[in-house]
Amino acid sequence: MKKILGIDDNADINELLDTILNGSGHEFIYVKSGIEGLKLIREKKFDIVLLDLAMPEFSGFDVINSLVKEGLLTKQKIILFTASSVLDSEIEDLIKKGIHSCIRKPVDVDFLLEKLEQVQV
Amino acid sequence: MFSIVIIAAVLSTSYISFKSLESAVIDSQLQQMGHEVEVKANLIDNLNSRASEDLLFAVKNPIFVKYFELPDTKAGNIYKNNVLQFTPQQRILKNELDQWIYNFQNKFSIDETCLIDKTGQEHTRLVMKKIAPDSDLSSEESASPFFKPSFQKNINEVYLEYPYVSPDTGRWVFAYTTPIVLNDGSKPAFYHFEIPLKAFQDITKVDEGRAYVIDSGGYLVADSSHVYNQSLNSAPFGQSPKDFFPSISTISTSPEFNEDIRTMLASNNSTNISHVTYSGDGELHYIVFKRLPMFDWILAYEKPYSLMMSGNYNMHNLALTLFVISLGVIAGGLIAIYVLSDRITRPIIDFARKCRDQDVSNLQRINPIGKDKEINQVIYAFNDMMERVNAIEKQKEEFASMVTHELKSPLTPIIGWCQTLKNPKLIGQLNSKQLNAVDVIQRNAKRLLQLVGDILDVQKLDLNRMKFDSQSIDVDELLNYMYNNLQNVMDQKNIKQINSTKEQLTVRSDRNRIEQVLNNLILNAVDFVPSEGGKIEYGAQSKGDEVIFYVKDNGTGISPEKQKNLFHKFYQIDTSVTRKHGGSGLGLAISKGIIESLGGKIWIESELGSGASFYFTIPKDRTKTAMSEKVMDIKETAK
Repeated sequence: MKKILGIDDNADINELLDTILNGSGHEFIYVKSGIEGLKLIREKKFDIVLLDLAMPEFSGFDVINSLVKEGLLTKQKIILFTASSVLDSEIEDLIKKGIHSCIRKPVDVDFLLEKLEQVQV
Repeated sequence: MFSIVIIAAVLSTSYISFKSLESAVIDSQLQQMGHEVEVKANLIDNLNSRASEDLLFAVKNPIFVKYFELPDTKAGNIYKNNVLQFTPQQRILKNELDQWIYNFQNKFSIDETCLIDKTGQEHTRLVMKKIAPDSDLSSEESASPFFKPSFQKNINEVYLEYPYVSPDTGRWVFAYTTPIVLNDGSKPAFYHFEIPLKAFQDITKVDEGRAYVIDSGGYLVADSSHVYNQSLNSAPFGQSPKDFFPSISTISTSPEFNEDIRTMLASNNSTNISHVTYSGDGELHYIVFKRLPMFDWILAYEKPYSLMMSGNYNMHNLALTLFVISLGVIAGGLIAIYVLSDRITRPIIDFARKCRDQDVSNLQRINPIGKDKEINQVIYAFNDMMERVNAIEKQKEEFASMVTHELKSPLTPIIGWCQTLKNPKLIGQLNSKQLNAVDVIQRNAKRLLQLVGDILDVQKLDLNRMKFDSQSIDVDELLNYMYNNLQNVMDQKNIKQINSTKEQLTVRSDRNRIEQVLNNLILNAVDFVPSEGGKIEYGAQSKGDEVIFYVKDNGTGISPEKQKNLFHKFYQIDTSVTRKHGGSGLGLAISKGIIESLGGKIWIESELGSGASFYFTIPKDRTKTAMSEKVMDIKETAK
């Protein structure tokens, strides 16, 4: 059982994750914007943060940049959850900065659950 | 192009000036000929009027009157052996008269002189140097109707007789007669003399060309080209002019010339000088003519074109000058063209090269070339247009990438929800029909996802916008990973897959893209191998700076014609296969784009019936290749 935060502007995906993750024994909550996500990350400790990159106004990159500035990036296990084409090397760079990993959308449900399971808390 | 125009212009100008000079020369020649004709016509007039005047002068001699007023003469008609018997009184006067006539005849070119009374009796006759009666001379001349017109003339009037052959001289002559008029106005006799036609013919002689006098009977009474027989003729009087004078057909027999003759003869109301032309002997002949009032003859002067031009140094000089000028202008023109084209063409070629060198996905402004305003106007206009194209292109790209991205986004929840529906633990158990329906939705959503992905890839490759990674790849690990992933598909289709890699290989490139290409080639092969005994072999081997990847199948193979189009977009070997496979027809085009972007090559080797082998190369270190490419680029630019 893990405490998981979802940050995604797509309500359908949020609900999907809500169904899958809560149905699989995790404790999943979500917010619909980067700003809200950043606020929650500052306030609470999550086991995993699933962060979408392409969001209007305040994107996933903005969230990461803010966390880097505040020195909070390594305090949370952030997994990028994105449909954007991000290069492996770019992800490696981000991992060096403190990101945990990257899961590409669309995702196989079993694969997602397996990945989340593997994350060491 | 320019040179042809200049040469044509010079040649046509030369031609026109040559032609205009030619026509000027001909005009002046015609004028000169007209002058000649005028002079000759005047000479003929003079001959005629002088003869008439001479005749009248002779008649004014009082001896004529004295002789005819003698009672002896008036008594007349004393013949003996057909010869008039003169009285002593008559004889004195006649001797005087004969002597005077003899002197007169010698003075002028007169052949024969007669004095005949109105009864037809001949009182005196001098032929050349002989005085009748003379054994060589004919005894008489018929007085009437030959002389009849003479008596109808008034004093000081001369009658001109149409040429005939003189019975005494045997020559063709003109005859002039005038009556002797006494104080009481009576005309007892007439005076008559003959001038040989030779005098007339002499007048028509010309230095060049041909002058002739046309009689309406169709013969030439005078012709500078004809030597008239001036010796005695054997058949006086009876001789037809046609037997003596040359025919007009000796000039030309062409219909054109005959038409000219008709024109000349029809001009009998005018004594103006005119000219006509006809073609003969391969050139144009010019005839200047004038009607002579006597006997309605036509005096004509003819020259062929060559003669009109010959001796015209102006023409020769002009032709030579024009030739030299033409050569000069053509040479000058060609040099001017060379210089101009260097000034105009070179910037245009430069401009065209810069246009071609443009990166289509990123058009850059072109700097002005040279100092030519017009060409730079074109460049400015081109730059403006290019900026608009860039703006439109950017809009289009943004729109396209937005559309494809937007198409992709909904697929995440669709596919995710399908999987969720199939998981009984999450939202309950579906029955088998419902599960089947969800399967169909999921399968199609995945297919759609693949298509959208392909289109995005093509778009990125086209625009050179695909980003490539450069990471260290363990080739063996990659192939094993793929082997495991593919095993499911291979099992389903009963295909034997073989990874025949024999070496440990590492490349520095984009792992995901290489995997994408290999996947593409292997899944293509899956569709082509036979349903029984299908075999797909793939792997990699090192070759110099590159690693060669291969995918070989034991399928039907691909014909050479189809191989040509294989890597083109939307090309599908068999649409039914595509349906089965669900491909977009973009797979091989994308593969080619990716491999070439990664610095490699892709190709196929296949024969119909013996399977197909796809190969592609990947440089062992993409960064090195990319670096060297950049160095090359810099060198190119420096050039």
